[in-house]
Amino acid sequence: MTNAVSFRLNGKPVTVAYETRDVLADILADHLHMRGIRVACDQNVCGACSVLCDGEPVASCSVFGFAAEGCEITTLEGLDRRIVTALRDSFAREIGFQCGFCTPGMLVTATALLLHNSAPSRAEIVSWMSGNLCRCTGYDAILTAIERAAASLCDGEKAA
Amino acid sequence: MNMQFSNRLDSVGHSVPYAEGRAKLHGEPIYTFDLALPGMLHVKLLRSPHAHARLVSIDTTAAAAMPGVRAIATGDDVRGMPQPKYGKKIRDQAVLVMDKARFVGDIVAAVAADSEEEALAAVRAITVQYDVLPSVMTIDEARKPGAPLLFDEPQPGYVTSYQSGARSFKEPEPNVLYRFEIETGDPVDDVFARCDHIFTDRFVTTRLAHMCLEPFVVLASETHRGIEMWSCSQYPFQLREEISTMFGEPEHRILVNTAFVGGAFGGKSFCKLEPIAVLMSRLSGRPVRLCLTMDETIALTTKHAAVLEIRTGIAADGTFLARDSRIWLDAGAYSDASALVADKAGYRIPGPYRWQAIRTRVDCIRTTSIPAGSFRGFGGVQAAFASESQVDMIARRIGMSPDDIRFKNFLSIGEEFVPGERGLDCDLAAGYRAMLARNSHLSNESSSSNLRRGVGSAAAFKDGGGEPRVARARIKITTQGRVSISTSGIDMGQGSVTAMCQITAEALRVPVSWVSHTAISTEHSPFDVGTYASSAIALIGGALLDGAERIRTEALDIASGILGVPADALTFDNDWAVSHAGTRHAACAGADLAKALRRNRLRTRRRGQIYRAG
Repeated sequence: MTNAVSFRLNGKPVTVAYETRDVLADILADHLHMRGIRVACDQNVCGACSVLCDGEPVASCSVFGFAAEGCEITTLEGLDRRIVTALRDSFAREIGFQCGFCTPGMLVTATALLLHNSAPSRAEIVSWMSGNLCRCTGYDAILTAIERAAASLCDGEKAA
Repeated sequence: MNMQFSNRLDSVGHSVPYAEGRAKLHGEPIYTFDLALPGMLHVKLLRSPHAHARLVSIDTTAAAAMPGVRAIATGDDVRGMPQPKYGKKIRDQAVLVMDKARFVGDIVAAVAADSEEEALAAVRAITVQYDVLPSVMTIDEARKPGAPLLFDEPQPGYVTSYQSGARSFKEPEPNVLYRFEIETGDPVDDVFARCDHIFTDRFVTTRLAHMCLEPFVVLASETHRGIEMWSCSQYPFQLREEISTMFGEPEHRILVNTAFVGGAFGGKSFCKLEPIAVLMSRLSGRPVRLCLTMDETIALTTKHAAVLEIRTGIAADGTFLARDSRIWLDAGAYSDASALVADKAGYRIPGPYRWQAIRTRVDCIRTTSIPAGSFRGFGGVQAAFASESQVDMIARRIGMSPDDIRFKNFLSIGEEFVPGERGLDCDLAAGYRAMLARNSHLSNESSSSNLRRGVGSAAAFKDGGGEPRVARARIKITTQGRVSISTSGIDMGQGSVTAMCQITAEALRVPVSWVSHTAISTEHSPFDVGTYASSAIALIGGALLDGAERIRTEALDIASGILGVPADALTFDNDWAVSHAGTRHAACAGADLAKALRRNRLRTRRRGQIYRAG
């Protein structure tokens, strides 16, 4: 059965026709061609499909299409530019990725963290990122990359 | 020899940007998982709910009539294939179950439909009657006299002959898929008779799932042009060979394309379910995508669970004398790469130590569970865990420190670990000492009531991928002097593309940003056996160096003609310049040199090729 759902995607209103069984990941990846949304575990465990729903990270594989009605959905493409640029630079420097399959989800979740908390402790980063799995890298480089991105953003603010 | 590397390394040893890093950080790479073809169907699989059951009947009539269903295949569609079974060395896994299911998840039927949902609905409408048989879930159960047999008849396959006292056997006993034996040194029993202490210990390891985030996925399309596949395989050329054998299609009509791979860890090696995709494309006349769910990927292959019994004889002063090991690997229902894993476990169980006598037997045991195959370390991890655990235990039993007993027995650099094999190429004692020094600040700690830290050290050795291997690489120079390299080293995230670009940039003395790596396909890329054993950079990197050396020689020849001085009076400088008598000739040798190289087309596409013994 076909339905329609309306929400704001990266700041712009969209209305999408979708099948009842479609989850948000299907709508974003297949209908709206957002990059980096990949359903790996399909059971809200790995975080590879993470997007922000009203600023909070959610696993888009486990959100039904209708649940997005009226929400503000943010994907990798629409993340806060200042924060995600700092994260990208930091992930590149620390090699916080290998195969890259989990990377968009990592950036989405980490951006949400830095929006909430501009100077998180290592323990807070560990706790916040616990819903995003990486099989290749090990987590040290990822956690360090987030820590350093937060530090560089704070330094930037002080300088400005 | 013209190959002169400057002492100043500009690329190698420097932290250069990860080749596809920016693309990955923008979510841009296209993995096999992301690919779609026009008119593509989706394949879903019907799996056995029983660990061991004979197929009595399958009824696909209702499923075939369902909306969107384009093709259904069962064991009957597989029987007529030129080779319906796959498996490394021993072919015992049918594309679809032909006689009986041998693990929960064994694939009984496949459906290709317009959508995944329609395929899944049709899978559920297939009815199967099973005659349930007793299961055999563990190594111990399968070894018991009178245990239920997984196979009633010997399976097709072969074993390889070995040197240095090693032998292998195909299906030597009931439920034993494969046996590897090695005996070297003095007569083992005589050496044990001379030992002051003999210790026998038993170790058990469990299965593990690879858990790559990109599930197993393959796209296949059979047309009048042949078979084309888009695969996440670590071994595209071996896959091509296997599909050729199974479908009777010559290799030149089979094309395997490699997209980005979202992790593999051994789980995407050899032949997996690719034949199902090819079969469904053949039956439906359409391109198909077979993408497993994460649950199904876990049921695709695992690491081998193992039981290891080691008898070690030593002298009173801690000198190792003899080791007699028995290893049982849980191969699961089908062969996959078990025979090769067994060989590795067998070679590694003595550890990197000097022995007077070694005797090892490895048995791959068939059980009614998920087939086990390649998994990072390939049998070496199980062996190293048992070997090194026992080294620690023995040291403590005789009142020695575990580190001292290792230093006493380490193989030296150049020493053979079994007669006839290449010697060790590193100084283990020096490395171990450096490791201890670096970790000297660590100690056992119990910081709180439920948190403990234990510190231990261990040593292990591995080879660079086994039998003598061939590595190839192709280097092309563009008219702008930039460099395009082709290899079939699959970058699954380990960063091999970055490393290959660094090696090439270094050897050609150009910036690493001037080098890029082409996409990989069996049609355009140089042959490679597969990306495994952490050996791609060492082997293919060697081929790149070889190719780069020939390009440098040729560049100097060309520059020699332009400058009118003998080639051996010139040195190869940065950015395609050459130097003569202290003068750098950038103008003649810069872009001109690259263009001259390019004009001589046949000679500029240099293919490096090296042979290295593992």
